[in-house]
Amino acid sequence: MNREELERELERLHPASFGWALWCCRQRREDAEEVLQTAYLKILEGRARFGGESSFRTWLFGVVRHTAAEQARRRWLRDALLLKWFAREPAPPPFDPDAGVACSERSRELRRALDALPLRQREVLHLVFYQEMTVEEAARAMGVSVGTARTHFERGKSRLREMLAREEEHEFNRP
Amino acid sequence: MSSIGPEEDRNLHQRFAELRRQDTARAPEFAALLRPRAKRTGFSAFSRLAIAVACVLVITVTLARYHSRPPAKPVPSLSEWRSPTDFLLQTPGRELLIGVPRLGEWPQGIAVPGSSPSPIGTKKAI
Repeated sequence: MNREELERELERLHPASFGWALWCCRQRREDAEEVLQTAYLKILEGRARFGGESSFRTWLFGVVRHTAAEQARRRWLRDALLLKWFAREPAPPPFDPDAGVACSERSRELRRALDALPLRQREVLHLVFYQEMTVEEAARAMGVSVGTARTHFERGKSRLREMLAREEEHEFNRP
Repeated sequence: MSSIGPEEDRNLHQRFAELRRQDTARAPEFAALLRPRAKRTGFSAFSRLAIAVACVLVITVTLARYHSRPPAKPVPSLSEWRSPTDFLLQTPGRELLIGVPRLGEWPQGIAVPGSSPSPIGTKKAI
């Protein structure tokens, strides 16, 4: 793929990639944009190459996920160093599912419930339900075996249903 | 393929589709992300200045302390060394303790009793 083709593909998948980056960065919009920009540059500058072993989207999501993990490691290191006491810039805000978004109550509940799940379960549920991938594709994007992804998917789905049912019950009982 | 049951997961699908619509609506422009932007370092100008000043201070203090130290005295060899409290061991009459005294001989260096006139017992003739 040449640069023009790559750019076209990235642009076509951009909304989905942004949604994925948001979930990789725990809904922090600024972080998601930074991760996405770094991932795009990696691809366009040839630092990450598409080998054709999976679909372009699956591969792209793997690159975004890897970049988000790198950024999280860098942030952790920076915070762990003594220099953090000199940093006057405020730390990134904690997860806020309602930040700047006109969300319905149902969406808020879903974001809250997803945020309470372990990372792997959240990732696989996002890839399957939100990105409409198969579990096999999700496993490739997450860099885990299909069996592992399936286990996380089933457990996550069951916990998510429980949490949502509890939320709905709570809403119903509210005066 | 995934193991999603069509009935039981319809609700989840609908909820996630709603989320997707909301996220898509707030996605930044693709072209805007390809434009270079200022890299966030996480440190303000004040922080960088404070770090630089602290580094300079540490280096200055270290160098100053290193140069103000007095030169080290030469270390004497072990065979030449004498204890500063050695004189305390020079007790009176220690010659008696060094060897075994013999009958009829008087140890050297010790005055024989009666050989010198006693300053108390002498009387001046008037």
